[in-house]
Formats: sequence, structure tokens, C-alpha cells
Amino acid sequence: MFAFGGGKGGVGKSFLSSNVGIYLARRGLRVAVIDADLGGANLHTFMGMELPRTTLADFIAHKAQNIGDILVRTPVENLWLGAGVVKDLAAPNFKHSQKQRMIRSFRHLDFDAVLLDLGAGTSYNVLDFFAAADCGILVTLPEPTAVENCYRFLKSSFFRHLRNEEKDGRVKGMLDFAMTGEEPMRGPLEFIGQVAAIDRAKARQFADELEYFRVALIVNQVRSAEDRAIAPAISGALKRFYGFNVRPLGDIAYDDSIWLSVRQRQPIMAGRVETIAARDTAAVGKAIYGMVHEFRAMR
Amino acid sequence: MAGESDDKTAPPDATPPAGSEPADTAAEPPQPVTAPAAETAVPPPEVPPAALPEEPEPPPPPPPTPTYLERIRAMTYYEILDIRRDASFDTINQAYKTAMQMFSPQSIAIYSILSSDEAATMASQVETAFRVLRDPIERRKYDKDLERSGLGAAEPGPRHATEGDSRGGGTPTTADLLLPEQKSFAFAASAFIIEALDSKPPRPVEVRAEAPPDAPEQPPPAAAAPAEPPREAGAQAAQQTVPAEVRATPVPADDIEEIEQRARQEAASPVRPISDTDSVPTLLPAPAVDLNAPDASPPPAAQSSDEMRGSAEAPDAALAPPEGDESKLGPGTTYTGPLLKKLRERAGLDLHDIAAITRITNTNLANIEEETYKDLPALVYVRGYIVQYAKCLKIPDPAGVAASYIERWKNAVGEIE
Ligand SMILES: Nc1ncnc2c1ncn2[C@@H]1O[C@H](COP(=O)(O)OP(=O)(O)OP(=O)(O)O)[C@@H](O)[C@H]1O
Ligand SMILES: [Mg+2]
Repeated sequence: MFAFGGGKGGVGKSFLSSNVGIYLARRGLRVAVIDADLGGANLHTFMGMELPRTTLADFIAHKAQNIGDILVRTPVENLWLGAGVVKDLAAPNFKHSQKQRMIRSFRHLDFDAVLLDLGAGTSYNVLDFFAAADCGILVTLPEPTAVENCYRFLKSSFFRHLRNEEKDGRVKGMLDFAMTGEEPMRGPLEFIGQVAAIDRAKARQFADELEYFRVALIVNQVRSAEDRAIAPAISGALKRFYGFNVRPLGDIAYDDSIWLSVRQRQPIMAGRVETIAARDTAAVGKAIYGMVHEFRAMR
Repeated sequence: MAGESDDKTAPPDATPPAGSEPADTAAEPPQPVTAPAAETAVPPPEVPPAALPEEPEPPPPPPPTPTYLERIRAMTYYEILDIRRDASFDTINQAYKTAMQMFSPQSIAIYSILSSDEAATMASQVETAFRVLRDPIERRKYDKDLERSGLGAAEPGPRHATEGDSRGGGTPTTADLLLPEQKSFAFAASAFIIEALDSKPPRPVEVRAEAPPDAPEQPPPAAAAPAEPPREAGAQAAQQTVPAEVRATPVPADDIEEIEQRARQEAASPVRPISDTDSVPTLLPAPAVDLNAPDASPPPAAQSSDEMRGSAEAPDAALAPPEGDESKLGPGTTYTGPLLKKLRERAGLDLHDIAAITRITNTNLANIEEETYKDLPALVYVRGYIVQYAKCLKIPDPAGVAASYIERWKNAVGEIE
């Protein structure tokens, strides 16, 4: 299970999850792409489809027991779509237990790869979905604000991940403080250092969590060679100062044909394969294809 | 919801510079980490303390405010460059270039993490780290210091780590606050980058340590599963929603191959930030070999000459003249195996050192030095080896050294045949 997130809106999460999904399916994997942008669903449009009759709303309303029941076939063989919630305004604020049920059901899907397209922002839903994936995929742009949001998103998701499992009230309090107050807590390493002061075993456990918190990175809309240097810089900075292992998957060039394909509602990987955008997306898809096999080998 | 802090665009570095000033001096005198500055900085007025008072159990006593200056000073040179202890010469070069970009003032990757002070400190540490690690002798000294200091974490101000270190009772650093295991995991965590730099096949991604408690039964490997629709109902519904024109244009598998092919070419093209491994970094001047280095081991000049196979050319070799004359190394020099060996020994390095730095095997290195041509690999490899070897010893014009060696090799083989 992979989750495309990154904090900022409009960075290309939906574009990438749909087109990487197509790529993986074309490589022979059975793939489900799921619109987990509760409230701002549009993944079906990226797939060039109308809103299907069954959507996540049915699952949330208990009309369907499993996410598998609401998936629909797409024009691409082996590729299934879990359409999102468009009009149900109540859906985004659904309860913790419902979210748990949804995550459980994601995990039970019988597919080679499940791709979650997350919404923008750092709401708890988004953070929890990101942390629940086997690998969270950060999507960002070569812009200061996008990178900054992306860091905050990653830290928050990690702290949420710890907090969801945490029993100790003191540690919970520290986590809340880490998430809400920007300073003085600047990153997971400092946080773990502070936990170590009161509970070394817990700190060690957190350090393990940090090491196994698998994160990958895609920088979208690059326009220059300097832009292509940003992904290694981001992963190097996240590693040195926050302790995250971030694997760069590749860059996607800024390409008007992406914009055009979205507008024409024809996914680029299903049509304009000759474009730079398709080539870059394929390279990223290939990296994810490799990860699918790595994960499988670990089972 | 609550976490929508995106809108709040408070400058990320608003607070740190103030707090980080006192830390600047922390490297010198042993100063308790709970410095007054840190103590008072804990409940800053700007921070909304919302979460704290509401907790039933109060958090532990206010922790010291960590500044990244402390951490930067606590980082080893290997951590600074984010490389492994056994990183090759080329890896160091590449890591240096990447790091210089990363910590440049224009870098957007770090501006929200580091204050400009911290970024500047980091950049200068990168320079220092590179200067030390690229130099085999300095590097060995530094490694010894690291070993001596235990886990490999350098003192604050690692540049002075060599002697008279105020280690015992010194300033506790951020790294000291962390667990010992973490210091080593910082190394382990660098694997992704290193693999990218070494362009070796990636280490397998590990699945999160333990299976989630709520999902005890993992789905079976999907490869074994028959390719059937997950649920019938959904499948039928879907068929009707598929627009005809999209259905008509699936990606042919060939196209996938083709775009991958192009992606591969792209990956190999110079648009990548990390440039050609052969180029010696230009940001620092490459010092020439100091043949009169005081700490070099005694020159075993005679030892090699009897082993020489192409003895016909031996008189021309720079081996013959007395020590001082070797500083004349240059375009006219014939670089024989024995000469390389001698230069290496002068530098106080043994074959293992070179092997560790260049990743060329001991055997190949020995064959190069002894000119055991028949056991050497193909010429192109040997050329690369010699370039590495020469860079490692900081002989000027590594390519010229390789050309000279190979010229000699060709002649020798030609004579035999
Ligand atoms: N590489 C690119 N080159 C040109 N345009 C792009 C590129 N990537 C994305 N776009 C444009 O940006 C728009 C937003 O992309 P997308 O909807 O995938 O972002 P998102 O992250 O899913 O946004 P949201 O957070 O609102 O869900 C797309 O409609 C597309 O036109
Ligand atoms: Mg979207």
C-alpha cells in the first residue's frame, strides 16, 4: 500500500497516483487506485471516467462491507478504481473508529499494489492514511512553500503515527506539544532525545519506528537542472536533521501536456506516451514497481 | 482540521537564531546543556501552549532547547557528508558536491530547517569534512580519533578532535541526548543516498517492523492469486462508466518499454546534479603530493626494483633519482608500478588503505604495482584504477599517470609478443 501525500494542494498527487496506477497495471500488476481525498474527490476524472455508481461513500455508510465491494473496473486492464466522496459533506469528519475500519479494509484488499490518493493539508485523516501505508510517497514542488509544507506534513504524520499507538499520558502530551507548538521541538530526533530522558526503552522503540518509517519522494514540475538537484537535497536534509529515510523516486518535468491531458480527461499514460511527462512518470512508476517486488519479497 | 497549520506562515526561523547565539560558544568551554538561555526559551510567548495545560499528566521537566548548531558540531565528518565509513573517494566527491548544493544559501531544501547561521556553519563543516576525508592521511588520522572516542561521534568542534580534547565532562551535545543506538542508526539510515551515489542496486525496502495488530491475516502474495475481478457487483457497474474513447487507447506494452528506455537515457544524461565521477572537484585546490612529508614512512627505494619486469625501461623511471627529485613529477614522468608503490609508501599508506578508499581489490593493486600485466583485467579497467590510485595519492594529472602507465604496459606486452 502506497499513499501519495505532501501537505500542499495542487502538487500533482492525483495526477501521479492515477498515472502511476496505469503504469503498474500495464506492467501486469493488479492495481487499485483509491481516492482517499474525502471531500475533494476527483480521481475518477483523472482516469477519464464519470463518477461511478459505487464510491467510498457506500463503504462509509456501511452499504458496502469492504472497500473491495466499491471498486470499479477502469479502461485499463488490471486497474481498479475506488472513487471518492464528492458530495457527502459529513464524510470528511468521520470518526476515528470509521477511519480504523477503512484502513483495515485497505489492508485487506487483495491486490499487488494499492495506491491511495490523499487530499491536501495535514488533517488527521490524511496524516493517518499516510502513516498507515507501507510506504508514504511525498509529492512536492521545487518551491519553498511546498517543501516546507512537505516537511511539516512528514513530521506530523510520524508524530501521529507514534501517538496513535501510545498509551503513556506523559508521552502523549509530549507528542501533542511536538505537533502543535512549532518550537522548540524541531524534529523527531530531538523528540526522541527528550523521550530518552524519561524512558529509554520507549525512546529506542521510537528510534526504530523512525528508521522503519518508509518514505519516498517525488518532486513534480521541475523545470531546470537545479530543480532536479532538489530531491537529493531534500532527502539529505531530512536524513541529517530529522532522521528520516527518504528514497527519491524521480522528478517529473513541468509539461503542458499534463495540463492538457487533465483537461481532456485522458490520462497521459493511456495516450500521450511520447511526452516528457509520460517518460518521467514511467521512471517513477518503475521505481514503485521495484518497491512492490521488494515488499513482496519481505512477506 | 487542527493540524491545518499550513496557512500560518510564521517565518520558520524566527526563533532559532536568538536561541542559537549562546550555543555558538558552547563548543569551547564545558557548559551545561541546560544553559540559562535554553531554560528560558522553553515557554516562548509565541508558542500557543494549548496542548500542554490540558493534558492530565504534565510533560516532564522542560527539555533543553536543541539548536542545530550543537548537532552540527556533534556530527562526524561522515555524518556531515552523509556517507558510510568505507565510502570510496568518488563517493566522497559526489557527496561533497551534493552537500554544497544542499547547504548553499539559495537551497530551498534547508531554509525551513536551518537558520542562515546554521546553514553557514553546516557549509563550512562540509568543506572541512571534505578536506579531511579526501586526504587519505588526514582521513586515517581522523578515523583513529573517531575510534578512540568510542562510538564514532566526534567532539563538538570535531576539527580539533585530534589532541587535548575536552571530551570527559565536555558539553553535552544534542547527540549526547540521543541514544547511542541512534548515532549508529544515523549511519544505517544513509543507505538510500549512498546507494544512489554508488549506483548499486537499491537495498530492499523493509516493510514496517511488525504487522499491524488489526490486520493479522496478510493477503496472500498476489502473484499467486488468479487475475479475477475483486467483486462482481463493482465490476459490472464499472463497465458502464468507461468512456469509449479512453478504452480505445490503452498503452501498448512496447510503448512502456520505449518510455522506460528513454527514461534510462535521461537518467544517464548530465542533467543530473551529480556530475561525472572522473572530475576532481574544483571547489578546493588539489594539493600536490608532499613527497617530503615528515610523517611518511622511510622510502624503501631499492626493494621494488628487483621485482620489476620491464626492467629495460627502469632507468628512465623516476624511481632511480634520489628522493628530492621526485617532486619533479610531471608530464615527462614515466609512471611505473614501482614508482606508484613508492609514492604510496611515501604517503604512509599500505595497500589496504588504498583498497578501502578506491574499492579496488588488493590483488589488482598489487598487480598494478608489480606490473604483473597478465593478471590485470582489461585495459579500460586498469586505466580507471590508475586514475583512482593517482587521485588517492594526489599525484597531479591522474589521467596522465594512467596514460603513462598504460603506454609502458603496451610496450612491454608488445615486446613479449
Ligand atoms: N508536471 C506537471 N506539469 C504541468 N502541470 C501539472 C504537472 N503536475 C500537475 N499539473 C497540473 O496541476 C494540477 C493539479 O494536479 P493534481 O490535481 O494532481 O494535484 P493534487 O495534489 O492532487 O491536488 P489536490 O491537493 O487539490 O488534490 C493538474 O490539474 C495539472 O494540470
Ligand atoms: Mg488531488
